Amino acid sequence: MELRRWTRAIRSVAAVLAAVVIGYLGRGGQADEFLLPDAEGRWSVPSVLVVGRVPANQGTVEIRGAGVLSFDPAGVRTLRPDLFAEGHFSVFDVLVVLAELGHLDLEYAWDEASATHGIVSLNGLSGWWYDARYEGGQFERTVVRMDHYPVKDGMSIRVYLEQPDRLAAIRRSFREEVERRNANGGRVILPEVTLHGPRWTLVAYDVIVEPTGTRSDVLRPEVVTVLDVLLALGRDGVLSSLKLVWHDRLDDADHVDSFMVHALQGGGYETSATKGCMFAHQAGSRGLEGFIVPHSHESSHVHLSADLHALVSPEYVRWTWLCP
Amino acid sequence: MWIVFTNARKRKARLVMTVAGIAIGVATLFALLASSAGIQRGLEREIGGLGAHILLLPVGCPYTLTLALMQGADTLDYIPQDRLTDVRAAHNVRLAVPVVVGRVRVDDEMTPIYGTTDEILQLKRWGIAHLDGAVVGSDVASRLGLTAGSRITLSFYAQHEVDVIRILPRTGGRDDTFVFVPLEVAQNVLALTDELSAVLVQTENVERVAQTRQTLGRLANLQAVPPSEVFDMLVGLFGSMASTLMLITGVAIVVGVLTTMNTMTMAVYERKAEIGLLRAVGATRGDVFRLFVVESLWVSLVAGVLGVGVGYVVTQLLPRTTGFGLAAAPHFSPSYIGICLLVAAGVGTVAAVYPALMAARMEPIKALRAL
Repeated sequence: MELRRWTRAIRSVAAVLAAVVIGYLGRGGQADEFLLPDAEGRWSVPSVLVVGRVPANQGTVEIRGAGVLSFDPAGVRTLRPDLFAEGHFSVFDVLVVLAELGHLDLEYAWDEASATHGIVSLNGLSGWWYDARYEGGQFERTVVRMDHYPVKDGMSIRVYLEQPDRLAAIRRSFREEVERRNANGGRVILPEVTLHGPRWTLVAYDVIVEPTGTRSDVLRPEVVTVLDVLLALGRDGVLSSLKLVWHDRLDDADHVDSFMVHALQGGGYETSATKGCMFAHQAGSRGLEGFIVPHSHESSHVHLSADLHALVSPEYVRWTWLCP
Repeated sequence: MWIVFTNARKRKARLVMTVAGIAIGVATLFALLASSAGIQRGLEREIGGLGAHILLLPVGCPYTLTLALMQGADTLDYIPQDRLTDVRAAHNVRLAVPVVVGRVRVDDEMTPIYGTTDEILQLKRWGIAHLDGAVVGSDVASRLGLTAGSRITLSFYAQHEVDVIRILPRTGGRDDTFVFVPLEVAQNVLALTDELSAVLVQTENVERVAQTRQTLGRLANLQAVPPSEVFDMLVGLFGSMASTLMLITGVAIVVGVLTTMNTMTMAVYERKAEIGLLRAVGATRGDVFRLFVVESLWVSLVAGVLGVGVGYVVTQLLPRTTGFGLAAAPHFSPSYIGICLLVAAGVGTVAAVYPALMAARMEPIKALRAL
């Protein structure tokens, strides 16, 4: 009799625990996936539902010739409050704080024509550029402005002297972006957006992109991101549906905290994520093509996720179906 | 033969157009053959010129890293120099040559440098006993006006002055574009203390390369790649591009066949009276058939010779690169001329069969009505 009562009690507790776990997982599942347009036909993600982790752990930067320097995220304040939300900052901000702490001899300046901060000299030398990777990823030859690249915990940053011709091309592409934005009255209008599916290609021209504030936890709501380009294509009727999935981590990569495009439909085509395949983006300028290896990537690549990649006004954005 | 030349003289415009149609196809074929052979030889020379049975590279894409090494571009990922001791201790390793590459200012001009040790002299015949100065490639020497005994300044992360001890004779390869300096000089200028871009490994027993590669590949922070694998991949990449070009050439040749066939058919209609007369004076169907085939063959061979000439000129104007940033001069072989002339003759023969048959089957009476 006693045993039966205990068994019933244990079963009840197990049932309550199971209900709590299932409920929690169910809530997580609903928050993780967004199918657009929503029930009201809107092409936007409620930004309050997702929050990326604020950098909290000590990070490192490798300055070629000067060694590896550590920084404490708590001590970093962004030079771009017009871009970053409270608590978030860029690769460039890390260099500035290291200089303020006396670890680097850094001279920098804001360049209005390129809409970015640039290194005038670092430890007496000029011509610096950087590579960055999030944990679990590989270094890529980025052409993202240094004061745009959000820092996450576990990130690796290396700063080195770039080849003068490539650096000149990067700067030229930045200036052209600003000129393009000014010519369009401050709006982001992309001359060409290309979606390369597994066996199809969709191209849209002169796409007007508006900010949606999807990642207002990291970036200011008025910042236009690469993800906004897809949402703009949805509003323009080029896409008929889009599935975004929130990833805290992706394989070995942790602190991903970003949306990935898992499926889209448009122009009579439909592609869904299978076996780890998903859409990755590039944004850039054609003037950056043709540099010798290992600088062969003409634009930004996969690691800076689309929802955190702030745009000024690039010449093109490409989405490509990538499989591992 | 006299009839053939008389007809050619009478219809010059048509002759020129037919010759041009075939010549374009032949020129494309010749240029493709010479360029493909040049690129393959260029890759062979560059990869073979590394002089290694196994390449030790930092972790990353081996093809990109090998190309960077050959082009003298900074790999941005490196092998810790202390791995060299483990590499040299590995079974079957005869020689392990440390290498650091990157682009620096040499007398204020960005130039690839190649830092290495005296061990490189076992792979390259430079005619010196020690690498205790700068050995300069011929292109760099002529660009910067250097001679043996000149003093050059290397600068990037740091500055270093070094004496030129040797100017290399021209090789036509990447060595012409490098400045070879002692390892520590390159490491200092590129701020790569205790780091290497690559290690070139030669084995005692070439037949045991696969096992040695496995052993070396197990060392941390590096990967072991046989140069032949990189060569195969690059040739494969080029091969897929060459297939597309060959397809385009094939289309150009088919167009040449159709153009010639059209011209010859028109000629048959226009020369009905001549055919009638020939048959009336005793020419057989076979004679008429041969007349048109020989005429087409001559036109095609003239076009073939012209096409080879144009192809040669075009090849000289094409960029002299493998497409991977490596130098590659086109390679000419007498066999390519033979292939091109055979293709031209084939075009002429195939294109002439139908019109020649049509002419041969023509009734003499009907043909004479055209008079």
